[in-house]
Amino acid sequence: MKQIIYIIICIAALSACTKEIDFEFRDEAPLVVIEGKVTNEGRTVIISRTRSVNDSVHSHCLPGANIVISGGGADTPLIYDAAADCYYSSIPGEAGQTYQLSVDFDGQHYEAEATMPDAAPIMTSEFSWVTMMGQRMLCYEMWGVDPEPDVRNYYWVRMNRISHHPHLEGTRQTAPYSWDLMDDRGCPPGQIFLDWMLVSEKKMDDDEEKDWKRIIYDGDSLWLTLMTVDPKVYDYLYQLGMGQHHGANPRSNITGGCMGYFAAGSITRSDTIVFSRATIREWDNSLLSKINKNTKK
Amino acid sequence: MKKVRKLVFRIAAAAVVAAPLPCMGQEDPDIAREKTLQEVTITSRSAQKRVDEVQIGVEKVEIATLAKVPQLFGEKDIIKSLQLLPGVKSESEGSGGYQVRGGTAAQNLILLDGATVYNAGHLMGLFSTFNDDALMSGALYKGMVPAQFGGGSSSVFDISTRSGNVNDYHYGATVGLLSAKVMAEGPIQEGKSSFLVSGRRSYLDLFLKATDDYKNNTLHFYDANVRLNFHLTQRDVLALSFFHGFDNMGLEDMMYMKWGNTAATANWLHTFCDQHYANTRLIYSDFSSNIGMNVMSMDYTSKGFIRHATLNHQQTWMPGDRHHVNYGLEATYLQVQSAEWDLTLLHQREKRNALTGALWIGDDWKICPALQLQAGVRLHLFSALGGSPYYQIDADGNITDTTNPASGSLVKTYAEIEPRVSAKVSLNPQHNLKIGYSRTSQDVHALNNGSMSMPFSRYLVSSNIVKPEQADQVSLGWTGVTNDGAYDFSAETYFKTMRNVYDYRDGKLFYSEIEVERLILGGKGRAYGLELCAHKNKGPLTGWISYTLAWSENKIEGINGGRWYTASNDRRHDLSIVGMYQLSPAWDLAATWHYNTGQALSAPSAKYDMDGSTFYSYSERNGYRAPACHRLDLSANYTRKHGKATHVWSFGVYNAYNRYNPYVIRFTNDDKKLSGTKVEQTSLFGIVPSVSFTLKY
Repeated sequence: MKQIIYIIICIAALSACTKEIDFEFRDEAPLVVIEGKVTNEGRTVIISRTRSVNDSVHSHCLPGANIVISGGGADTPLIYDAAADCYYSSIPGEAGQTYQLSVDFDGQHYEAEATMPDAAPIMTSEFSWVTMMGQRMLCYEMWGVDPEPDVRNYYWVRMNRISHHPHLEGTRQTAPYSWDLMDDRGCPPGQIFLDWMLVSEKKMDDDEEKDWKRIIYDGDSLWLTLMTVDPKVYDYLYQLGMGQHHGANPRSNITGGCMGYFAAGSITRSDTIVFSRATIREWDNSLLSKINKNTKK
Repeated sequence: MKKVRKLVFRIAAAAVVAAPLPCMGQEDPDIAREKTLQEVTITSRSAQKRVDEVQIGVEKVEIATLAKVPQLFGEKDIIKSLQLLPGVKSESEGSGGYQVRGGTAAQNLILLDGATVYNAGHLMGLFSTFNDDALMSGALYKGMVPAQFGGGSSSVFDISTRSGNVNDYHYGATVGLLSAKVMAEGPIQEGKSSFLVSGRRSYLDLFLKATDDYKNNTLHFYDANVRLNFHLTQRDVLALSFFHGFDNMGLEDMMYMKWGNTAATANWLHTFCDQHYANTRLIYSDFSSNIGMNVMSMDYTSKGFIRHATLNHQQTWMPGDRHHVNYGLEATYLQVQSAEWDLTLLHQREKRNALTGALWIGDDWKICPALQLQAGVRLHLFSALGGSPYYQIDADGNITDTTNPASGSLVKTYAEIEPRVSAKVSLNPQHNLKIGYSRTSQDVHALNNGSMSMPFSRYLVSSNIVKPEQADQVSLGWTGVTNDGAYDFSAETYFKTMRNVYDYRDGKLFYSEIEVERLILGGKGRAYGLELCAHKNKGPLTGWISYTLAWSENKIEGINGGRWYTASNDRRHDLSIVGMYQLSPAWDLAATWHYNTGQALSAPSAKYDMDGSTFYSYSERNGYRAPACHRLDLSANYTRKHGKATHVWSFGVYNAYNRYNPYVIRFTNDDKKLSGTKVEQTSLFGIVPSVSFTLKY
């Protein structure tokens, strides 16, 4: 009897399935997409248009726009750079300054404003193994400095990867390996941390094609960029991520009826790690000693 | 930190005599049968009674029928059986959540012996929290809601537990695939008092322990019902009813989710005379959730609850044959903790208190043989109490002003008159026309993140800026029965408007802010549709066919450009066919087939590149449709008697032809595909066989 029950339960559990289906999309007229950033590394704006859901060709920055970023008493025009595939100025932004974006493109005018927070230096970052439900998971932990411990700060984290593995040949190396958002609620005073679960050891062993983009291969170079952003940009990016699963567009901080965002933020970078699976250690909870559990924020 | 959190999150009123008491001298057969004589288990409800019902939009659930209808894993489920009725829809396949006439599951009031059960799902909502062994009957009010009920803007499902037998002892036990249950009933003092105790526990965790990978995980639920009845005097009956249900899920020592309901009711029935009796009821209800995780440096716990204590008094008076009057009053002290959490070192809590009150009167008036009226009015009062911060919030969800009113002070009071009326015009003994209007409201608002019943919902109570949710509904219907009662038919159409409907802002989740009012946007909704039903009542083959044609739309500033949009629970056609066949005295067979057109779905209309990644653009909320769903379920019961013992073998097949129905549709950019986008459908259940064994003595 027990065996019968066990078999029936296994049948039920295994009966769930995922399959690819045909779906008929209704295309919409292309919309302008503006991606603008002022950082301590310079100023960039990319202008593109939305494309068909069934289009597998990536878009490029469109020329012909008149772009000015103002702030700190100066107006900085951005020049179209075909090689860099963006409008660019090397003049860095300064923390604490508020910047205004002005874009004239295709007869339309677009505007936005963003304030640049202080930078959050990265102190440590490393990969480790964490065992969950009998499986080892490759994890990544970053500790950094909270630039303003007394206020709630918002961060945009991006893990970058350069890979020469054959499985990733032809993929866009400019695409992030992963990205996420975080705030500093609950972090120890003056510190911030990020825990990231990346991929299971089993998936790395099985090396199936569907997981290639998630698997980190020996020899891959990885580093983190941590950008402090203002709450509106955080909300935009949060809505962007959530909306991909819930069918909603994020609310842009750019006026004029386009998609995209204008962010002012300070970027810091972690050391680059050349990944070697053999050197990854089990996660060390001694890092927890950094947290004073008696200190409530 | 957030990535880990997200990973884990992904894993994973009272009735007229609602606690049905023996009411001496209640001769009205409808009342006697459905509301009072709990010693008699309802086995069927005649077609004539169904047709003669004055109220429009009421459905009675019969426990005997429920026992025959096939269910997932063979678990008899009163909530799932609702989903076979016209105007009632499941939230998703396998879900115990149900939606009534365009409302959401959170807008249904579920009462167990008069006590509210806020989360009626076990195991992520796959099963309801109600054990059929303990139940006597259930009535779903989806149209005109009687004046004595308040608290659910969409519907009221009034469930009554069974009293124990006052003369004999009976025992029962059932062993199924996922759970086992036991029941005992009998006299405490013969003929005067009785008890009924039932309990159920799942044993999925036993199977987990048999595996190497999952042996340290936790996955179980249990529930228990106790009912004690005391005939104190010829005129006084005291009934004590207790219910507790609990779910516990855990991944090793890294994550846990616990949630449960407790409901207790003390009901004193006093009969003044055959035409006049009173019920006084003290009710306590609690829903609590507790979730937590501890992974790497992340340590997160969150607790929430809804608790209330209610005093309810009502009297029923029948001055002559033409009137059946019910009037009463109710007072409730309500506490809602939307969350209390520890995010590593951050501790935050939001808890609000409130007082609610109600006065009502309703009358079932037989004006003449051809015209019967049921009308009532309910004065609904709500006061938010001080003792916690109250806010003013701007359009972006930012707090612009905070006040800290003194504990117990009245912060904001809402008073609403809620009229309800239903009229039945008898064209002849077989045919009736009905028309009804009802206004209902709700003070506790639930914010759900999906159709699964998980403890991640945030609850909030009306406040200085959150208004009570309110719905107005008009409905028109016809009922007919054949001369011999072999068949009866009904058709109802309705139009409903809803105000102060709240939902998450785009990009907000339950943990985004402790101040839950910062997470929400309020708006309005409307729903309309047509419901058809035909019953076959006689012969070895009985059953029904129900069909629902429905529309549901919402309008919330900040969503879809502030325009009306198709609600996510919008589904145009639902068809259910239920057949039960008595093959022999020992064997009874049943089959249900359900079909529905696709659920509203938001699908991308374009895509664009940003920061090296490709994203989708959505031009319209819920502008597409998921594929249609259909499913055949079968069951067979074999019943044998051996002396005083009865044993029942129940066999079932859920989704007999192994149809993979859509549960989730996912869109993924795929540069390697010519189409550029991969569309994947995840289905929850294929074919699921079941077997259970019941022994009764």
